[in-house]
Amino acid sequence: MVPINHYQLANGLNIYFCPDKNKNMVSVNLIVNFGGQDTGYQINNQDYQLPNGIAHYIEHLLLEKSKFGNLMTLMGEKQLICNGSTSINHTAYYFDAFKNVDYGLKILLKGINNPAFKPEDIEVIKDPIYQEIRMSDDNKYRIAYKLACQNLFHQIPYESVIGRMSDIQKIDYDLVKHCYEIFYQPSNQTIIILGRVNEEHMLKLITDIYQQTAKPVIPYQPLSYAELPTVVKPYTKYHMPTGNNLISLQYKVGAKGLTGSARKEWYRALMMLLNMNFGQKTATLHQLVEQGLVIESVDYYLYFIKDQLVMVLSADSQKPKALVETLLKIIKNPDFNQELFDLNKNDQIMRLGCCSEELGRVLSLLLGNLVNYQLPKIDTVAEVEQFTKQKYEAIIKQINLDNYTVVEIENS
Amino acid sequence: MQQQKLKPCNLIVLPNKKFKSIIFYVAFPYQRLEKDVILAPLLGDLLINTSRKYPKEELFARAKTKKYIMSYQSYTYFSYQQALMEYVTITPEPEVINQQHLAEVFNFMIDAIYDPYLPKNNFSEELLNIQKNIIYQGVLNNRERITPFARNRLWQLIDDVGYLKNNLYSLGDEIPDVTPSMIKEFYERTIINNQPLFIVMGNIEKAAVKQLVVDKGFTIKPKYQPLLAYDCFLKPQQTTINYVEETKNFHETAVLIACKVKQMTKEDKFLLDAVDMLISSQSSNIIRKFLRDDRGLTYSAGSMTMQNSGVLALLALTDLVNKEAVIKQLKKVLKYLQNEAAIAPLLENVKEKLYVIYKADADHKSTYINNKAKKIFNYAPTSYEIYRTTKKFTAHDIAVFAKRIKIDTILVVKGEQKHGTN
Repeated sequence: MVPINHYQLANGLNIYFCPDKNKNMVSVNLIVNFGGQDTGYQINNQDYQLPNGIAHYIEHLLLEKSKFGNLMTLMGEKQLICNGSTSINHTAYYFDAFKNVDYGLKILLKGINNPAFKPEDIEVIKDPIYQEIRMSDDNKYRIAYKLACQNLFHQIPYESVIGRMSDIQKIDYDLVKHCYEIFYQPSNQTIIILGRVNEEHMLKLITDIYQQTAKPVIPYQPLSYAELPTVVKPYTKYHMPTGNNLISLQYKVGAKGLTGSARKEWYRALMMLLNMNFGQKTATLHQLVEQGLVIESVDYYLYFIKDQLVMVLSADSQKPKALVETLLKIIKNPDFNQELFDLNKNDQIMRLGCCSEELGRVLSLLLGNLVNYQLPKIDTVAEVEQFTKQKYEAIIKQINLDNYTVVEIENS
Repeated sequence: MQQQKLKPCNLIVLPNKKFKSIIFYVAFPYQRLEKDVILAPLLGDLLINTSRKYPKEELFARAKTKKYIMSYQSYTYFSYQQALMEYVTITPEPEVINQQHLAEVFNFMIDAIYDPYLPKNNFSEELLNIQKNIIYQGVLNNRERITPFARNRLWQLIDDVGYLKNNLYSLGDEIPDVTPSMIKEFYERTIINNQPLFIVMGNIEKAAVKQLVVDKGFTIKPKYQPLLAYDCFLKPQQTTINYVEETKNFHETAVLIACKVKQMTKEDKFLLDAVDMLISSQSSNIIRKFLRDDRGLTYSAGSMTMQNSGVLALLALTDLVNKEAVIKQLKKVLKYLQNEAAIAPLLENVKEKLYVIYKADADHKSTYINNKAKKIFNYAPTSYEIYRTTKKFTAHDIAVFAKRIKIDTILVVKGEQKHGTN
């Protein structure tokens, strides 16, 4: 059992400690609830639209143009392994430390919460992001992801975390400042610290820093979208140089109204569906390989965006058309085999039982539950054991898997 | 299982209560022939996906979970003509799953390695064809990715002895011609007629592990044979820099500079690593300062060393219009290494960073066991050895060494400045 100690400051900041005295290292993570999906907000009934890529842009800006200088460089000089990342639903700033933890904590929290970027910094940050976008355009998986988003959503204007060049060009100082004030309020932040921590000391340090960097509270609402259950476009083909053709089949699963544990159960059931029908233990996967429909494996994952859950299956294929037909048939009539269900549950139980040995694994389990389900905990073996085949089948039968899009990347 | 096949083994047990899982690691050192580059991954894939008892991949995968195996993988390391094939099995310690399962786990791994699926006394052509296709298609995919493409193109340009360029990427076109008999010959040479070394780590008693190994039919020998780290330093022979420009269908442009070290020696390998860290580790990151922070020329830039070849390479991905500016800045990076006063504080950061890496390695079970294997086989220095040696270096040592680093080749892979989905 991984210990999780939770504190909340008066400003709304949540702090989680996962202490482990066996570790040499400390992992400090500042999470901001501002990610690629945040393409708008509402204040006083007034809607504000944001370009794709703004959260990712601000991550670059805050790390590189803090009041102390470039945070990654500064921390690197003190042997702290620091970086930032932006995903669909959050931005993370983090460092791993053996020593100089206080230094890292101070400059990270003060740097992010008391920014010093100036109008002249705005354009400087854009060039490396343009390079990143170009790199993304050489990556067939990222292209497929972006095209699938365009096909899936009528209302949600999200298509990628990094945005297009035209999105980045729109970003100016006022937009950045406004976004920062809205999304970087302490109540929108979470700190997770794992490993060899001095909890009392660090809690005091964090409390002091947030008192020094207090900000006015600005009430806002993220923009919500009345997304239709159907997809915009069922199929797109895109040509680029690639060794193998790629098929990405993406299902749009409405998850409106689902919160907390109920939302998690849907995720758990769909992941089980994928494991039981396309995992290494299935005869199906190996038949697909033998028939030449799939080269090695069917990669799959699920992600939430707003009130939508997207189920993604993708595979390199030499017979893309036949593969799509087969995948659709399998999803329509999935395998509910008891043996495979039990084996997949056993896999989860083994991994959960050993998760405490890797700080990164603990972080990922806690963070996933926090940002997707607002559940401040790590799954327990008992919860996995309680997830029965009957429950799994019942959930899958409730879920509508009629809405999907296919993106085919063809070698040119 | 055919017990007579088993050669005596070496065994090292590392009792460790820090981790929740137990690792069974077995390594086979061997002399690598050129053709082994493509045979090793194929054999590895066959032995981790099927066995005589479980000839179908799904049956094998199900059996792994039934026996509480979380992971079973194979890896190959090589240093020119020396190579090491490793098989690594990870399972929870008995307390986590409330099972006394370790004998079954060990037996499963040994059966998979020593009792493979051999219909007609050879590896299955059908299974081999599947693995060949998987690996070959992976090679074809890599050839359409800018970084592997550019890196391998550079190796072809600078390597006249076949150390760097003889890799899966370059020799991949030979994969379709591999036959079951070629795999069988490789298997017998590297595994059946070889002495394995077991390392077992986790919350487990030495005597219990020894019993598992003996019960499976192995005899244990106390002495093991280390690999001789084979160096093949490529010599800077050109009097002028070789400049090559090629066009490829990428959005990005890659600029690479390959350097070789004049009169490179074994002792210089640590200096070369220190230079690599000065250039691109976060504790120093000269390349980032010159290319990104000061000029915004690139998102991705770094350096790499092929320690045993004495090669240092710098790589930056950029927009085609920045090509000349990037080359100029990369040259400045190399020149900067000769500035003792400038690099002195950075070198101290690098030393401290190496100490942190050594400490961080002990938090991860895979790096912990890898460091142990490096020490035993002597094929690469451990993180502690790197720290211990580097901390003795002065800025003067680095500056003097940097003067011996000579630019050999500059390669520009020009992108097409397309607009993609933007």
